[in-house]
Amino acid sequence: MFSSHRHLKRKTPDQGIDRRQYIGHLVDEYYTTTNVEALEQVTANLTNFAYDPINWPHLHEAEAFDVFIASLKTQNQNLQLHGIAAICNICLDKTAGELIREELGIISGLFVRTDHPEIVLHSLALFYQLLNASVVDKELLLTPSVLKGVQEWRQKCHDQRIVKLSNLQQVQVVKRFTQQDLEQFAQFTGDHNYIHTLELPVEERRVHGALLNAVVAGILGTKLPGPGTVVLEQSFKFLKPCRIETDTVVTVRLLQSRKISTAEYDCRQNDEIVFAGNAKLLIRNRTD
Amino acid sequence: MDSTTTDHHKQMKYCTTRLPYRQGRELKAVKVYTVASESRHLLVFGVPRINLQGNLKAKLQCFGKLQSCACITSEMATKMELEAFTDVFAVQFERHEVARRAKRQLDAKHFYGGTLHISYAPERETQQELREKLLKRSQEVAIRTRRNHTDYKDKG
Repeated sequence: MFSSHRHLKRKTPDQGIDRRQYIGHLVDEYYTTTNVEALEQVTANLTNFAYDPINWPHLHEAEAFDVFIASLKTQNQNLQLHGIAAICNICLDKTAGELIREELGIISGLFVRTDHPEIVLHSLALFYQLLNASVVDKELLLTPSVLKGVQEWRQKCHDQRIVKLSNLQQVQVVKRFTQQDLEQFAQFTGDHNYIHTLELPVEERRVHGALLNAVVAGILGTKLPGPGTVVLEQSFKFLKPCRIETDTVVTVRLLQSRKISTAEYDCRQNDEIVFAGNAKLLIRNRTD
Repeated sequence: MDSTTTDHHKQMKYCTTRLPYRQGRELKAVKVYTVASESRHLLVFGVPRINLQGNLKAKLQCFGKLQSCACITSEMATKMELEAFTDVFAVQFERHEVARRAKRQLDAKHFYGGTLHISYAPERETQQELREKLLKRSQEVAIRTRRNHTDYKDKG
């Protein structure tokens, strides 16, 4: 839930403490109490405050982020959960972004070693938001162990919330087709249609439609969803001719991930869509 | 890694050991929420099994546009323990704020002799809905940050 300054002013009783002081008290209690329940209560309280941007200046003033990181480092799974959820809530704040970059190792470290689904859930939501808003570099966050963790949770977890979050990424590949590619494809498939050959000037020549589809299929089978994927049904349109010697951005996006999933994809040249379609996929694990 | 996917629907106990300065007017459980927890989809537990689908729909529609309200007792009975003689409904609102408000106002309230328990059901979202939810979160944060900043400046 969100609040406004006016709303908070109205909510606070005359003799009461305001939000800024309240947050300060919570952080103080975290450092002074020895009661485990109290620790869990105040961290949960701070985490839920972190959801609303109106509290972010107060949380920074009270240095609550240190509390969140400290919680990640404890052995208590509830504290770890509260810590990662707090960071997930505050991650779109500029100041928090800097702090997250500094402590990225600890944050991803928890994700890699945890077996708690709720911690995984909030970690994935955090990672997605960080990448989407370019808060961290893709290479810094998506280390081999993190990617392996995401893959494992996607394949073995029955919790649909986690499966969906781990499938959210879209894959983009940039390909540049050459005349040699077209000739090899024609040789392999027997499609010697002159529209793909030197008989036409290069501005009028077009890439084989089937070749475009094959590149998409390659992504489906190796990157997203990945090995084991079987295409059941496809529909696609060739909207514009696809030219050679031009950067072609191929994007594949998962729409629905169940036993039979759906994906959509497109190819763009110069920011225009030349090829688009969707597919129904069966995702099989190697053990199936 | 095999997790029961209904753990987040189990009703937690109220916390009664909070220090006075941080005990609110209502009792609440110790629970955290992020964008991953909330959803336009809700599950409503504890509806007495006396043909109340219409009444429930009417009550929910007061909060805003309802997209669906279906009884899923048989589906849920295999996954978790349900209160005897009650139904559980899967509800979908058009907007997140509406779902939020409905949950907050109806949770733990009496309803025709039973007590409702409402929880978010993000597992029922499609991939596209999940993407939109995350986009919406970033947009709301941007709007709020801007608005809070101008409010604060205006306060003087």
